[in-house]
Formats: sequence, C-alpha cells, structure tokens
Amino acid sequence: MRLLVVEDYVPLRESLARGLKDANYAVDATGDGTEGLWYAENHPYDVILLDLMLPGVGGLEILKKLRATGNTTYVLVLTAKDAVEDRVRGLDAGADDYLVKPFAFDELLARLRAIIRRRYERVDPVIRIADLEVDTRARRARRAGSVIALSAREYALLEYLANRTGHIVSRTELWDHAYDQAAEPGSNVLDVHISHLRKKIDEGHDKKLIHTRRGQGYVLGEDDE
Amino acid sequence: MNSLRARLTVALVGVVAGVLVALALALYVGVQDAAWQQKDHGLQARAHALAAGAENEDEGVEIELPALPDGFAEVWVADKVISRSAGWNGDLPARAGRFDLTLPDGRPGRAFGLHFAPRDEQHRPPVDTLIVLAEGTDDIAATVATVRTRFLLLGGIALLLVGGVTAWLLARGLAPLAALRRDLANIDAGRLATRLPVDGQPSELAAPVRTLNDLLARLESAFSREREFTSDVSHELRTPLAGLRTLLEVSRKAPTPTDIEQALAITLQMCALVENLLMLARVDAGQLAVAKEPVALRTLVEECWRPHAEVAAKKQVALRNELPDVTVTTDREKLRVVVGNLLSNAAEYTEAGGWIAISKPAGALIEVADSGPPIPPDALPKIFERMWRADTARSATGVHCGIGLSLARSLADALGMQLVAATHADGSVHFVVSTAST
Repeated sequence: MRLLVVEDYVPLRESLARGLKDANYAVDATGDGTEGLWYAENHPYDVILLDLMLPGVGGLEILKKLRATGNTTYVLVLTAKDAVEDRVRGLDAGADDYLVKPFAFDELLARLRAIIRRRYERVDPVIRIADLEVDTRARRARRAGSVIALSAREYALLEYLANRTGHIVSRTELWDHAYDQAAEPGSNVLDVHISHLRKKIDEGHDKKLIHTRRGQGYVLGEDDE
Repeated sequence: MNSLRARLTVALVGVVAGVLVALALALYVGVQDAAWQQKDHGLQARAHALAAGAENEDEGVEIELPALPDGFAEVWVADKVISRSAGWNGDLPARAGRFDLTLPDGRPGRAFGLHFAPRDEQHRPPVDTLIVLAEGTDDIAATVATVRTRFLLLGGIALLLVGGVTAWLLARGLAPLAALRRDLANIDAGRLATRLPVDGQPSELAAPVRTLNDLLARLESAFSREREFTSDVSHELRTPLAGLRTLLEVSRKAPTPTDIEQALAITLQMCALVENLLMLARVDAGQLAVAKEPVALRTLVEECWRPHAEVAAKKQVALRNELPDVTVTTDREKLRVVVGNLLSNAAEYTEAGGWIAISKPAGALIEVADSGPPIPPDALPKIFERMWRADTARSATGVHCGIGLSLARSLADALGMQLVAATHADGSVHFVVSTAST
C-alpha cells in the first residue's frame, strides 16, 4: 500500500514516514501544500495523510481540489484542530477520517488498515485465499497453517495482490502501490521481488496461487483462468 | 424600602392622601360656614316674619309667638318682656344682631335679635320692640359630622383604590424589566451572541437595553478573541506534542541517539513556548515586577543568540553584532526575553544566505535587522498580534509560535520601552527597541 504524508512539521513528518515504512507501507512525504497537491494528483495513493495547516496550499484546499477533479483517493486528516466544527468541515470537504494530534501511532495504523479494507471492500482484516492467510494486522502470511517469512517489500506486494484477489494486477499498478517515489522504476527489482514471493508462497504446494499473465501482469487466486 | 414599585406606590398614595385631606378641610369649613349661614338666614327670615305679624294696639304691642319646635322666641318692649314662645319660662339675652348663646335647656344655640316698630293702624308714634329668636345648633353639628364620616369613608376607599391601581399599573409598566431580567439570566458565556430586543421596549428602557447590547457585543468579541487564542495555543502545543509522541512511539523498538536529540529539541521548543505563554499571562495579569539593574547589552545579545546560532548557521545566515560596549539600567531577564524573541524571529525567518545585524542606532536602545524577506506594509501592524503568522511564505518551519513578537512588545511596554518594526526600501526588516522618553 502506498501512502502520501503531507505534514509541515518536520519532526512529525519524518517520524511518520519512518513508522509507516516500518509498517511495510510505501511512503512519500512532503511538507509543502503545493507539492503535496502535485503528488496527490499524479500518483495513485491508497491513502493520503493530510495536515490542515500547511504552507502553500492549505490542507482543506488540497482536499477540495482533489474531490473537485474527481480524485477519490482516501484521505485521513491529521490535525491539531479538535473543535467539532473543524472535524465537520474536514469530513464535509471530502475527508474519509479525522485524527486529532497528538495521536497514538497504533491508532493511526489501525485507522489506515480500516480505510484500506474499505477501499478494497473487505471487512475482515485477515484475507483468505484457499489455504493462504494474509493477516493485515500482524503483517504476516501463513500457508497451510505455517508462517511464511517475508521481507517488508515481499509482504507489501503480497498484501496488494491479496487485496486485488482474482484481478489482474499490472506491473505498473504493483509499482505504484508497493513502491514509493524513491524506488527506481524500470529496474528489475519488481521481477526479483515477485519471484522470491512466488517461491515462498507456492513452492512445495500443489496448488499454485500466484499466476503470471503474459503481457498483462499477475493474479493472486485459486484458479489460473 | 428598595422596591421601585413600593416606593412609587407609597409616594403616589401619600400625594393623593394629602390632596384629599386638603380638600376635606376646605369642604369641612365650607359646609360648616354654609350651615351657619343657612341657620342665620332662617332665624332672620322668621324674626322678620314674626315682627311683621306684630301690631300696636290700644292695649299695647300684640304679637303672636307660635310654639317653636326647636327654638325659643322672646319679645321686649322698653326692656319689658311682653311675650315668650310657648312652653318655657326662662330668659334670652335681650340683644340685637346675631350671636351665640346657651339655650335655656342647656344646648348650644344661635340667636338673632331684631328691633322693630310694630304696625299701628292708629299711626301712633312707633314703639321700639325687640324680638330675639334662638335655635339649637345640633343640626349643624350633625350635618358636619355626616359630611366628615362620608368623607373619611370615601377618602379611605379612594386611597385604597389609588394604592391598588398604582401598584397594578406599575407592575404592568415594569413587566418589560422582568422580561429583560429573564432574557439576561439566560445569557451565559456560550450564548453571548444573544441580543436583547430593543423594538417594543418603552423609551425609558430602550437606552439601557441598547447599552446592554453594546456590552454584550464587546463581551462576545472579547470571548471569541480569547477562544481563538486558546485554540491557537492548543494548536501550537499539539503539533510538537504529536511530533514528540510519534517520534517516541516509532523509535521505541530501536531508538538512536539522533532520536533522543530530536526529542530533546522538540521538548526545548515546547518549554520555550510554555515559558512565553506563562510570561504573557503574567504580563496580562499585571503581575510583573520590574527590576532595575545594570545590563551589558553586548553580552546579553551574545547570550540570546546562542540558541539560534545553529539554525542560522545551517541557513548560512551571517550575524553582525555591531553593538558598542554599553551598560543600560533595566530588567535583565525581561530584556533578554524581548531580545531573544527578536533574534529567534530573525533567525527563523531570514532567508538562506541572508544576514542579521544588531546595532544601537542613535536615540534607540537596540535594533535587530535582517535581510528579509520583507514584511509587507499592510502586515506590519499585525505582526505584534497574538498568534499572527507571517503567512505561509514566512513560516515553512512548522512550529512557530505566533506569540513571540506579541510577548516582546508587551514586555517592552512593561519596561517602559517601545518596540516598532519597519521594512526598509531594500527589503530588510528592522525591529527597533527604544526607551519611551527618547
């Protein structure tokens, strides 16, 4: 899952980016409203974490501009403004959730998971495909009951594929949702990660779950149809 | 007695009672006079009538005195009683004219005496005859007593009516006051937007109601400023707190020395903010004792600069300390906060590669100038307002508390100094502290 953090207070932005990366999210971060808007308009983020008081373009304005142009990216507002009117204004401007500073980082993670479940139309934090279980809370995968050791990137790829179970996921899409701005596109990093993931998930099991569609992308699912 | 209603009622009843008593006295005297006059006229008329019936005959004067129901009559000719009304044997005074007397039966009475010459068919020389007619005056006393009783009764009723009606009318007239009191009782800090109705108020109340509304408006704006300030302060505190909390939570598993340094920096920032807020609260409450001590300006500025040196160095902002070695007499700690906030402001806002200059211009105590960006002229009066942020272009640093300059100015005031800001033609920003006398 790929996130955008728009927060102008440097220590908070850096800590957020660090903590979210530790939680296997691909994270882009900026402290400037104008830049934030540009990022949001040009990348398919899963969730945008948005501060309201920003230099350049204010958070509410970013939100309104995004919604006005039909951008449906989920937005979680992070702000020090806790008055009911402020929350109402934020939610009415198109925010999907509202978290008042200072917040518990664990709560932020839980809300992110909830938003992502909503985005991929799930209710269970555990995604089950045949005998594969992807636990989005513990960020862990099991196949036939035994835990599979995954690197952060491999887990990120698996979680995205699991969220899109049964759908063909293109390389670009994977690239957009599992890698941040700093990753170098065009390299064969993605192929390497996918092949490792496939080895860990499918090796030793009769039923293969990760399938390649030549020229289109990958599918995670029971049937290779 | 502190009730307006009771006071007005009593006053009005008193006035009406006074008027009634005066009226009663006048009427009493009038009635009495009229009764006496009537009595006199009656006596006089009857005396003349009786006299008209007298006749001088050969045997002497002949007069017929009928029995008088409530009176006595006596006739004299040459000091000799010739006739008395029937039924008694006493004597009346032989006097002409009107006079009071005690009747032979002991009652108070009124009498009228008339000298006359009885008719004489033979036309003999006239005989001087005196008739005196007396009547009791009990009827006058009774009439006056009746009048008095009725007047007391009616007067009492009138007073009761006046009192009752006045109290009722006053209660009705003062009803808007009671309504006003209810309206006012409903206003609390959360409902200061309420205004009292002016239309339909009696003119005596309209003016105070308008004054009350003005007061409400002033209170409302004061409260809303206070609320804004509180909300700004909470924002200023929440942001670094959020940074600190997230930093600590995220780095809990594997903290690095950098994390601790950063946490410390945030904490120091918040300490400074809280210090400033406390000081501002004390200035507001007027609880500030101002010391007088010798302060070496140059040393003070060097001390104040130390916390900002690193930030400035990172931005490659150069400091020019052009202060001469002078000593001034003032409160060191407060001047330190003033200068500290000016330097903090300069260090924070001066664009990378710029300069900050500290000098002592003629007629001023200290000047802190920086190379800009310039503060637009229309923003200059606002920068000393609490929580005013030099717009976005000047505050990309995240946490900047908008009370530094406000506090600096308040403290300068408390020290008897003036703090003003100006943008020069070259775009440089100048803050000048001068002693108020210069």
